[in-house]
Order: sequence, then structure tokens, then C-alpha cells
Amino acid sequence: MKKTAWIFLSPMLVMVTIFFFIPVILTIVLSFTDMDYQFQWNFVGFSNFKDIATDFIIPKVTTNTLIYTFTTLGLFNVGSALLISLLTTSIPDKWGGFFRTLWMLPRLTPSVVYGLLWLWIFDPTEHGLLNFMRMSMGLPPQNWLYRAPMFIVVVANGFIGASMGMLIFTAAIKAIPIDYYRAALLDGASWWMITRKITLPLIKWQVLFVTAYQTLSLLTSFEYILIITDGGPVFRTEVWSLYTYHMAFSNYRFGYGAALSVVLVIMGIIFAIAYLRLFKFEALMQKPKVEVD
Amino acid sequence: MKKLAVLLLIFGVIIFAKDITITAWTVGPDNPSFYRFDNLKTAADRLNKMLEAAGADVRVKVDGFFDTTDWSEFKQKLLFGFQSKKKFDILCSGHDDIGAWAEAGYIMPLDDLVKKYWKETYYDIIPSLWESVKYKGKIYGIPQDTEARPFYINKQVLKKLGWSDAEINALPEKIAKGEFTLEDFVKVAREAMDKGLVKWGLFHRPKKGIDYFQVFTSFGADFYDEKQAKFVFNKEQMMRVYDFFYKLTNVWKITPNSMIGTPWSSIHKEVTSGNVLAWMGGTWNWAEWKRDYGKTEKELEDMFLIAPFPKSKNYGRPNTLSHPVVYMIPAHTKYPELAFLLITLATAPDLNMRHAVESGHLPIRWQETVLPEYHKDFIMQQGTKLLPYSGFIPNDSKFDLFNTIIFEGIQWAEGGQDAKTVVNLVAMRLKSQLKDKVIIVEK
Repeated sequence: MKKTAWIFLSPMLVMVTIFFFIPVILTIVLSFTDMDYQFQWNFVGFSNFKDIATDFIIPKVTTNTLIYTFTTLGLFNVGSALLISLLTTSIPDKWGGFFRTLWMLPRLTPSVVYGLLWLWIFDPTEHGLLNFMRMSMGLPPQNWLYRAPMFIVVVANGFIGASMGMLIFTAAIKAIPIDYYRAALLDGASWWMITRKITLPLIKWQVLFVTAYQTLSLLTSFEYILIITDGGPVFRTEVWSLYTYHMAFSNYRFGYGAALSVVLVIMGIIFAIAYLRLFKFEALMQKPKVEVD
Repeated sequence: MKKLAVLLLIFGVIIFAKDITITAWTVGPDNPSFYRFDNLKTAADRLNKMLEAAGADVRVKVDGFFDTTDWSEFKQKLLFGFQSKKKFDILCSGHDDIGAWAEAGYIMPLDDLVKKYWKETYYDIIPSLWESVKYKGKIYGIPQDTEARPFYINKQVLKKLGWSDAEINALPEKIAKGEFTLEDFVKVAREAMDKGLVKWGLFHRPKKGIDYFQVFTSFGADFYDEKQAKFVFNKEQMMRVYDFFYKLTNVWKITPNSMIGTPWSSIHKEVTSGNVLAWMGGTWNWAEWKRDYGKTEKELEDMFLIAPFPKSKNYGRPNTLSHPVVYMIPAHTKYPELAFLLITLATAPDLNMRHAVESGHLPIRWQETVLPEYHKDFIMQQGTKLLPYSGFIPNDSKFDLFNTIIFEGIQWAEGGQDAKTVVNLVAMRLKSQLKDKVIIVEK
């Protein structure tokens, strides 16, 4: 049996080794070199890490990363996702499905098209959608991307990010036995009371999963920021992963970029451990106390 | 049966040996520069006619692409192409890439090949262009075009401000002589904005690029030491430059503080709609405005004055900047001689001229200046007049990194950071990233 299990697991193990473990090891090795556009493996010890410690952009990048990650997470990827799931499962399923499909639309749009749409909406001249609307009401155009770049980046990411949590939470809510709700309704519980006392406690593990998964995902995601603001204006939306990208692929400092990636991986691991402790992951993984055959 | 198989094999080899494909990776990124690729195809057609006439059983085909995304995307593609030894035999890019790519051994020196075709073609290249394609004394590229970066001033606005035709027409000359300075321009721009004639006084490019180096020259700021092959960051000189950018968006407010990051299309729409007094652009914009923004030659000629970028009152000189795009041959190509021959044929005066006319660039050969197209084309004539004020950026392997950090400083300054702080931040950043490749001059 054990042998069969290994045979079935082996294709995925090979894939994970090739596409995850080997790149991780290469990145770690690379972080100790000063590789540039000449692709030479010149080992320089901890020089890149020392550079990170003295790089005065890093505090700004770190703050941006935390603001971006936790604001997007709180407002959209978990917050809005939870709210949409709760609301759309409280109305007839036909309408619930319709609203959930609407929220899926950004996810279905290619990232570059989606990013360019946001750029067009917030274009600082009269050619942008929002400014066009303002001007038709007699108001002057606004420099949206200058005034609130982080907000725009959070919203653009959030509209896409909310759909994943929405699907998981909706599935989890629908898996709760209907008897609980009927009993609560018979006892005269309100919608809020049912949500607080029945739904939320029973989807706690899904909330844990989405929170942990999306934190790690947001820490490493930057494609919409790259398209919409490219980290600007003046580093105001430069997050750690984008800074890594800029160092490696705009400035061709691959060694320094790899060192930044290694630090990001360490940050991710710290967050993951913190979540597992906070949400008591051991309890989630324990065997159920009652087994039903 | 065996004989038949051998015959088929030989026949097959002959058939397949007939076509040699030369792959060219070329770039605009402006759409009208498509002849950078198409001229190579025409060169192959001409070569094939010669081969046919000579009875040779070889034909040359040009494959590849013309990239219109943007410079950095294209350069990334090239860099990884070099490294993975992708099949391409010709590339074109800015002359400023020569330093880095020659240093890394990605492109081959062309001195011997240039000598080989000197009498037929290369004797006729405008001599100053050879300087832009050399690295450590060797030629690594063949100039494909050059250009000037005019300071486009909307003369209709000047007219509305009460300037006479004589005053308007004399302005480029006054700028060239240093009699009309950047400070004078700021006053005019502010006046035009205050009177509601334009929304903005000055627009510049919204991304990293080399255009900003014109401002350095205007303020007399050195940025490269040729002898030591090191970058120079003179704090006192750069303070003036960053102070100018700070004041543009924060004090004079003649440039929007969202300038950096504004989409190109919005910028061109605003400039060609007459909403901006002046634009720090390039000659190729002329072709873009006609092709992509619906402007006619007459409308543009009626709208813009073309001048060098003004000097500041107390420093520098009026100037423009050329950035020749050049053909290069990757070191890993199997067909260096054939690739070079195609480049040579694509450098024919008629082919290069059609590129110049279509894309708003300037000729690279003396012979082109006697062609009728040259004398008919307004922007080519005006652009050529600017060439005496022109300079090049250095062919240094670290130029792009230096430029990135300098540009970060411009972003800080326009974002509201005072010049003194910006200069200190940029100096720190240059030192940490470029280490001993940069000389920081404190005073």
C-alpha cells in the first residue's frame, strides 16, 4: 500500500522538486552572489544582505508591504469575501449566484487588460473615466493616482482577490446542515444572531485558511501594482515583491534581487507560523472526536 | 532502394539548404519606426535578386519581429535571448546598450566587417555617429537612425499672449544663443496659465529615459568622466537640477505633479490639443502625432516652434540629445557575415530615408541629405538644425542603473521633496548601488 502511495505521489513530488525546491535553492545560492546582466556567479558572501540592511528605501517598502497586504486582506480578500458570502447565501440562490458571478468577472479578465482598465479609469487628464464624469458635472479633473495611489492599488487588487474567499466561504456556508438554521429560526434568532452564533463559528477554519493563504499570496503579488503605478509615485506603492522585481529585472541586479526574495520568504514563513499559532492549527488537524460510519 | 533513399536525402538537403533564415529582433517602440524591421526584409529581397541573377541556389529570408511594447520589455527579452542563445542574428536597440552588452560578450565587434564595406557604404555615414557605436575603441553597432529632441513650443499660445510674428519666429534663435533662458520660459508659461490659455506650461516624458539629461546640460551638471569611465554626481550642480524639477511641480506648478506615470497617450492628446505650452519631446513625435493622433502636417507646423532645450540663466548651454538606434550582431549567431551584409544593404540611402520620413528621425548618411524627400520634410530639416547642439549619453555598462537612480531623484523632487534632501538621498543610493563606479563630488 505504501509503495502504491509513493507511486501516485511521485509525479507531484518531481514537479515540486523541479519547480519549487530547486528554484528556492538556486535563489538562496544566488543571493550570495553579485550576479548582474553578465550572469556571472561571483560569490560575495553576505554583501547583499548588508546592502539590504543599509538600503534606506527598505523601511518605506516594508511599511507599504504591510499596509497593502493587511488592508487588502481586511477590506476585500477576507472582509468583502465574507460579507458577500453571508449576504448571497441569505437570499434566493438564483440571485445569490448572479451576484457571485458578477464578483467573479474581474478574475476572468486578463491581468494586463484589467490593469489598463484601472489606468484608464484613474487617468489624471480629462481622458480618464472618473475625470470625464467629474468634468461633465463641472468639476475639475483630479490626479487620482497621485492623491491616493495605495488606495487605488488596494481596491484594484481587492476586487480580484475577494472572489477566491467568496467561493470558499460560500461553499463552507452551504455545507452547514440546514437543521441548525431551522432550529435557530424556530427559537426566534435574528439573521445577525444566526450569523454570529452558527455560521461564523462553523466556517472558522475556512477563514483561517483564506487569511493565511491570501496573506502569503499578497506578500508576493505585484502584477497589478506594476501595471497601475509601477511602485510610484516616488515609492509610495513600492511593495517588497515589486522592489525585488525592479532590482532583478529593471536594474539587472539578480544577486541583490535574490537576497530580497530570501528575506521575503522568511517573512512569509514568520507570518505562516504566527497564523497557525493564532488560529490553533493543531486543533484543526486533530481527528474528530465522533466518527460517523 | 538504398540508392533511391540516398538520392532523396541529397535532394532534400539541397532543397532545405536553399533558404537561410536570418532572424532580426527590432524595436520601435514607436509604431512609425517599423522600417527598422521592414528595411531588413527589403534588403533580403534585393540580395535574393542578386543571388538569382548570379545563379546561386541560396535564398535569404528575414524572420523576427518589430516590438512596440516599450524599451525595458524589449531589453529584457534581448538579455534573456542572449543568455539562452535564442536564434537571432540581428538586433536593434539604443546605442547606450553597447557598453553593457559588449562588456558581457553578447555582441560582436564589427570593425573588420565595417572595413570590408567601407568604400561601398560606410564612408558615407555622418562621422559623429561612429562615436556613439564604439566601446573601448571598437565598433559594435551600425547606426540605423538618429534624432534630435526638440523643445516644442506652442506658437499659437505665444500669439495669444501678444507676441508678434517676428518675436515668435526669432525665439528658436534666441534660445540657441542663450538669450532666452529656462527662467524666461517659466515666466511665459506661468503667464499663459494665469491667463487661462493653457492648462499646463511644460510636459516631459512620464517614464525613465534619457531626455532628462538635457536638463543636466542646461544647468551645467556633469554626469560622466570619460577618462576614468566613471559616473559623476556633483552635489552642487545636481542641486540646481533637482531644484528645477521640484519647482516645476511645487512652486511654479507649470507641470502636473502626476506627470511621471501619466499614460503616453494622454500626454500626446494634451500636447496636440494645445493644452500645454511646451513639450520636451523628440522628432519622432511628429510622425506619431500624424499617424496616431490624427494631426496633419500643416496643423503641426502651424502649432509648434522647434528649438533646442534652453539653458538656465547662469549655467550650462542650450542643447538637445541624440540617441541613435543601432543594428548589432549577437556573438552567438551562426551567420555574422550574412547578417552584416543585410544590415549594409538596409543602410542604402533610399531605405534609410524612407524610415526617416515615416518615423520622424534624421538621416545617418550624407547621401540622404541630397534626396528630394529630405528637402520636403519639415521636421527632418528642423531636426537637423538642432544637431550642432546635440550630445550622446555614455556607452557605459552601468548607465541604466545610474539613470534609474537619477530618475528616482526626479520623482522625489517632483513629489515634493526639497532639492537638498533629494541630492543627499540620490548620492547615498548611487554610492550603495554603483559603489566605486561613481564619483560623488561634495562641492
